[in-house]
Amino acid sequence: MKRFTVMLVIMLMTVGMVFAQGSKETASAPASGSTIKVGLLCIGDENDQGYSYNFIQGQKEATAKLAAEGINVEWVTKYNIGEDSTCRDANIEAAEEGCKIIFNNSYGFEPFMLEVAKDYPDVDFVACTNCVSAFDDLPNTFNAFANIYEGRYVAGVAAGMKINQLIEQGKIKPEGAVIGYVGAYSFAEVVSGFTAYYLGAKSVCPSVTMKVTFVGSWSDATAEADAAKALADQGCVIISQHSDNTTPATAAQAAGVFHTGYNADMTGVAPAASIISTRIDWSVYFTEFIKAYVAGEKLGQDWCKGMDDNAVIMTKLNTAIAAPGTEAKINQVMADIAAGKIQVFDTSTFTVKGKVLTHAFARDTNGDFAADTDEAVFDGAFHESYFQSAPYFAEQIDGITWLNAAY
Amino acid sequence: MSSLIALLVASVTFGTVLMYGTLGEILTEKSGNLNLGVEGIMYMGGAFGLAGAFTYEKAVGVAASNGFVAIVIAVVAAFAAGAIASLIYGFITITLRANQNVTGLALTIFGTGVGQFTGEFMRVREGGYVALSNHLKGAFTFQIFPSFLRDIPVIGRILFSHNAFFYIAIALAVAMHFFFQKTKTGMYLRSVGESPSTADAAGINITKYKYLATIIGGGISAIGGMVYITTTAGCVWNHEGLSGVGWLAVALVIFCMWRPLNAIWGSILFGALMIMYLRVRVAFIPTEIYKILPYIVTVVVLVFSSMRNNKEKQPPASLGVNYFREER
Repeated sequence: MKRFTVMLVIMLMTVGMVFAQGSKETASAPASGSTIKVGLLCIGDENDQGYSYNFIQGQKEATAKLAAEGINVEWVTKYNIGEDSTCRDANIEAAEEGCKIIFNNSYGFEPFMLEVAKDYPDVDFVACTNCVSAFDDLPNTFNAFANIYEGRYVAGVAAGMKINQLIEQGKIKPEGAVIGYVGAYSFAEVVSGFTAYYLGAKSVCPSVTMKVTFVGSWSDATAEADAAKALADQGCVIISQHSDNTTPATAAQAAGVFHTGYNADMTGVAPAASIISTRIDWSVYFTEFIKAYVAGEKLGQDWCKGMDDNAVIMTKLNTAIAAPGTEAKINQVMADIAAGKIQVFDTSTFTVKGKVLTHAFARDTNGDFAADTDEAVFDGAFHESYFQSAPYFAEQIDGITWLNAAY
Repeated sequence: MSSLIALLVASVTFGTVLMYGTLGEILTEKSGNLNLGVEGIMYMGGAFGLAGAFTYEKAVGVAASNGFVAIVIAVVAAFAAGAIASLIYGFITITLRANQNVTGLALTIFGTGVGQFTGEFMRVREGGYVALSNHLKGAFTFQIFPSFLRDIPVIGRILFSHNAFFYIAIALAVAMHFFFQKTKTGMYLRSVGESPSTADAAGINITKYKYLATIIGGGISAIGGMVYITTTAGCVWNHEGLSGVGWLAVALVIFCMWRPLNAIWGSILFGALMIMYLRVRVAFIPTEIYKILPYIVTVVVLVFSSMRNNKEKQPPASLGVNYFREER
């Protein structure tokens, strides 16, 4: 009897854990009229308030936009999927449940998705942020990303203006204009992002320099907080991030420095520090893809849009702490980017080891993570996300110090 | 020099969290109960501590909220969450005499789940972030010493620039040391952990001691989780926060050789080891090596302590073993 009770209690705990944190699944009720079943596989859930949250925002907005056009979407959303065999299972489950399109939201999902894709030729598989599907021989696999570097450039402009204000107020010296950046990994996606951010800041504040720390995880709240604090201790006056949590924002506030965010508006958690955020509006892609599918067409296998199509947007500016004139300035910069007047990676604005960048490849065709095809530098600029949607700018430019590296 | 001071100060921030976790687990283990559920307990402490302060702020309004009251509520809520979780552990291992390791591991999973659920529930109900106002954030990180002490060169920042939780943790460690070494109750508790049958024969109520040590220890550990959420995580509910800190606390108990005073410098050292990769860089040493340092240090300490075979520096003799009076 005693043993039975013990077993029962332990089993109850185990079951409790499954309910509380295991991977979950929700399916919205089927609606009448033309309905399409679409899968969305997320690495986290809304609760990360960052990466997956941003996808779910896009999902909601796309559903509303499509409903307005008479297309009902029945979503099969799976949360907390790992970048391992659970991703393969989740893709199989979604396909077996009758999804016509399956969006995979994390970079690491692609290899598992591709294993499944060939068994379901009638289902379209999309690997967001990755780069193999577009160039493989399967017609039903897709890649998608947006020009997030444009948003980071704009956030950098806002940061640069804040630094200028601090210099004018005499709070820092021009050579003390240091930005700290909490990166996840030393991948091109992150490098491209912080370089764009730095160039944005440099476009308004020429003396600015930057320090980058990589925490070695896309989501590690503690490490991100510690990294931001370490950067502030090393004299950084603005912190930005390419990682999933809000802790860089709160750590910046605690250290008395400023911050710009990614994926979500962070002014709520750090009202005295967070100036602005940039994010990808995934609803643009979801809407286009689903609409095309329903119309019997297919989008290109590699999709990438930017600020001009509202695929990259800025969150509301925190006017209480932003430098005066920031709003007008970033609106101008955004309009110029959309109109093509500003090239983010204009090679006249930066140097690599003291030299102007004249050559860099865009795509990696042999799988060694080093680009070997397609010259990205032409017409006086490095053309990011031009040959493929996934970012490929991986140069270490002057003015940015890498404090460590993480792969 | 200034970067060294910054490293020390930052180590204390992280070390304070560990200190609570470790002190609580030392108290638990002194009674012979090896509670491997610290991770879950701390997670619950974090979620419920934040929930307590957040609910209080919601109830009275941001303007009327009092920082001191919020801290007390957060501490009580965290302690209660940890105590209840440990009560479950105690019931299963002390009364039902189930395997302590299995129960502890189950408690880790259970506590993490309950913490996640609580945090997520709050967040969904709020429809955004669960974050305290700047006013209360300031209260939780308030530096209790006046600025003239903090401004003393070098030692000012090292000794006086921390928040109240750090000094309370040190007081707790000292108090626990005296409790174990100088008080009758403390010695009774140690005897329960060393040899329950002897203690039983001496008329000590084994069940009572084990329960109380486990429950109070769990409560103390849980406060560590709350301190984490309100300092490192910036008073914001964070998905996946606190991952692994509880396990580090378990390792730290071994590192400290079950002595509360060692926990003070041990936690700060472990705190330093955890963040060193961000601040002290040695070329060619990858980040990952830094991150495993605390565990390497623990293994080395274990090896040395068992080689020296010093009777003073051993785990409680009955650690991990349930007491059956009938088995004597």
